[in-house]
Amino acid sequence: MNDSLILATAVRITRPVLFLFAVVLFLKGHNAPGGGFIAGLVTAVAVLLGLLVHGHGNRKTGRPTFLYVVAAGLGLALLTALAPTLLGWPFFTHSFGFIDLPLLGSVELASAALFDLGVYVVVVGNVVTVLYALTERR
Amino acid sequence: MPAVFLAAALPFVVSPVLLLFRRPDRRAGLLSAAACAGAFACFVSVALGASPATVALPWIGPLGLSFSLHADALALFFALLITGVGFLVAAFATSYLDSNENFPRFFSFLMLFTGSMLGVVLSSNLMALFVFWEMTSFSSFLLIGFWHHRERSRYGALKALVVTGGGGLAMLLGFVMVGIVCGSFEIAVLAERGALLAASPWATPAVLLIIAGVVTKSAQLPFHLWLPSAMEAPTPVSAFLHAATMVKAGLFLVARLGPLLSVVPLWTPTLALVGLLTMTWCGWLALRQKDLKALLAFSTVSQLGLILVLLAPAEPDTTAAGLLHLLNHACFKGALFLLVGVLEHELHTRDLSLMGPLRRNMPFTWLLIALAALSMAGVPPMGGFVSKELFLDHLLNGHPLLALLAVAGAVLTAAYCFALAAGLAAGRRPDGPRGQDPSLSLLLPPALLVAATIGLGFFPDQLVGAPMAAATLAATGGSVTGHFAVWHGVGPSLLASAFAISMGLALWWGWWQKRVPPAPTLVADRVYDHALEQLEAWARRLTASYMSGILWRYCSVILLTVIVGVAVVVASQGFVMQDGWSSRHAGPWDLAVCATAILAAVATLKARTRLAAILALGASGFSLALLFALSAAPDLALTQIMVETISVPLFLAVFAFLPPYQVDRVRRARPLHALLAVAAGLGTALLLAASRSQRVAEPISSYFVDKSVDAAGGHNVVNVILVDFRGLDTLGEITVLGVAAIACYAIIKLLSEKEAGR
Repeated sequence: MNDSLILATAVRITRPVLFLFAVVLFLKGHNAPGGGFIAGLVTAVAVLLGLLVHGHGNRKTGRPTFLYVVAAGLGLALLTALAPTLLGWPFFTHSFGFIDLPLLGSVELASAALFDLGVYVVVVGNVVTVLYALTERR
Repeated sequence: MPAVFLAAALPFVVSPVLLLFRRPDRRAGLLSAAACAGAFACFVSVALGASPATVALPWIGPLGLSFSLHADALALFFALLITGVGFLVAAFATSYLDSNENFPRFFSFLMLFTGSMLGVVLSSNLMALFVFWEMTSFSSFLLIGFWHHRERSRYGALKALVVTGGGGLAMLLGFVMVGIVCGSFEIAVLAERGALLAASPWATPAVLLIIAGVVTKSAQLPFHLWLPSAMEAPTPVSAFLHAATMVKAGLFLVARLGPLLSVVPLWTPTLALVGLLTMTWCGWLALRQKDLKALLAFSTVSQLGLILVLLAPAEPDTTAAGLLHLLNHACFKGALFLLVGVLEHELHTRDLSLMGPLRRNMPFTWLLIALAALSMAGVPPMGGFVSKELFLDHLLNGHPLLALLAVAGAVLTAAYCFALAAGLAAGRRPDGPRGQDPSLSLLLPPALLVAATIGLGFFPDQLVGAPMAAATLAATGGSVTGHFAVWHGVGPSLLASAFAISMGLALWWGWWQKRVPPAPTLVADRVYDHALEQLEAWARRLTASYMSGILWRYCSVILLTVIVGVAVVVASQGFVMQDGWSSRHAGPWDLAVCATAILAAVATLKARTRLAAILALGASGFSLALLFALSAAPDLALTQIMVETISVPLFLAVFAFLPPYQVDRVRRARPLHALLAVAAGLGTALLLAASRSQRVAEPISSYFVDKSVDAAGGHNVVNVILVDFRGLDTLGEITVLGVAAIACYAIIKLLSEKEAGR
């Protein structure tokens, strides 16, 4: 919890940018620097900044909410890896394709992105769990 | 979609869906019962030939692993048994559980178990079978510990998991040996390669390890200890898992792998002897129990021993008899457990001597118990009689000593069955509610099971003759010569049966009825408790020996490991450097950044406060990120920046947990620390430099770069490696992240609670 007006204002402006940056990093990740892991860390930094300014607010403490986020991410990654076996392909077969969308042009859809989303969610859940657990102690 | 796959997947689909129900919603139970019924119908359609029996589900082909399902007659027999009893138990539990119980969780666990059990019997691959096998142990753990606020439940759940899970691991080792010797994990392929196994020196250890899996799962001596403790589970669970299905997984494995493993001379005699000893000894233990569920638990162990004796030789006739008794046992023991559940619910006790004159107070319940007990005792014309005749017939042709043991087991079985039926009929109930027959929804499921075991007595051949013959053919590859019948004519087995029943009656009347002998404490239990205690003490001592809580010691150990590792490599391989230090010459910017990093490191050492030290460390980390960026590694640079950004505040948050910063405290050890640090740093640098020039194979990185766009559709090779080429590694890594999050949370919470309590 910090009462600094400068910090609060700076965070109010940078937080949305950081979240957006995380989204960009994630979406670009397959073809340009970025990806789920880095995007997860950026998101965690954004959450951390909020924590620095606003503290825990009136968030109900004492429940490991973000552990469920970790579990969800792990589940998503595992399901993405398992899904191809249902279609008769080997475990962890990824596939990708391109579709044409109005305005955006040719867009790539890759199952690897779903797996990457799992990585992203696990990273965010992990860092936020640890941060909250450490800081809400008092 | 093939019906087999649909039926096997249904429980796994329903299990998570059930968790969406609200807590006291009984519809969760109805949905589970419906899922079992649906799966049952699917298996019937497969049995009638309306749907293919085999589904290929590849897993990791190069390792010989698959999740393929193969529903031959043996698997179908078990699958129908599992889903049939599962349906009755789910229907029973729906009205049995109190309305304040957590229905969604209970039925979700139950469905998880059902699916795992179906996986065990349907898998055509040994490794898949093992996976499902351990999943049944795990779901059994969850179900035994369902009332987790009770200390005994947690104890029983843990014991079951330790014994069956541990046995499962031994079995895995055996499976791996068999798989390597025979060159396949597919059961159908293995069945033809018995000769390979017989010729291998690994055969004996492999068979012993698989036997360990069988006897732990089916609670045979000396691992019978977990089943009585597992009786802390809600009664429907005891009926389903610990009487009708899970404990029979070991027997299923014996039937399934018998033809392959019986080429090893050890297999049949070991299993038969263990089964026979278990049958007799646990029959004796059952006779000495006053607690109804404990009595039934020991009797289950004893009956499993009987079936094991029949399945061990892997011959058609005995296997058919074993499978018939397995079916009988599922019916009468499942019914008995459900009825004991009714009694406990009505009378709030499980003490055999306190149930009162049930014949007057709860006539229908008592009648069903008596009929099921008579079937278990092997009294004609019940179903239990038919299969027990076959059992006696088999053993009377063998060694006289074994025959004696078998008859003794039969006598004891008859005695505790009479004690059960007659003890409940009469007796006195001192106080408390007298009880009355429950509603039809609770009586119907056990009544159906009792009806089945009676039907099996009157028309065994007409009802199950053909399916049993088919299952036997699938299991052993041989045809049954005889057929099932109540009346075999007067022969040694009939005489033995008559002797067993009359002796059992005499034993009960003359000895047990006068005074129930006190329940013994199990030697195995004491061994287990003591072993667990010792293990924990050793673990604590071992951990204390290296977890000193002093950070610089941890660092020293880590650095020393690095140094020793490098030294070993250099000493064994020699140190060669062909290409020189670097393929890329460092520019002025690189040097400047390196200088900054070094300065920051020195500043970290010189810092007087912890905050300064952490900030200086951060500067060193950011310089490193800059170096990555200069070396055309933007992904690494981004990651490094983010990690540094997060770890500085993390350090700050940890402050509260740390003692005051004392640089001086370790002053005397400083030269040693400096030596360690320099050696580790230099060693790592040399290792990296040498690793560039000591290629033993073409680097794989060029393959990744070439294939990244074609094979994975991504231009960022780093990301493609992470999520595609090396996806399994990443899955492992994020699993570690998840475990770490749980561990951090738990440790911090425990610490706070401890401090709050103080």
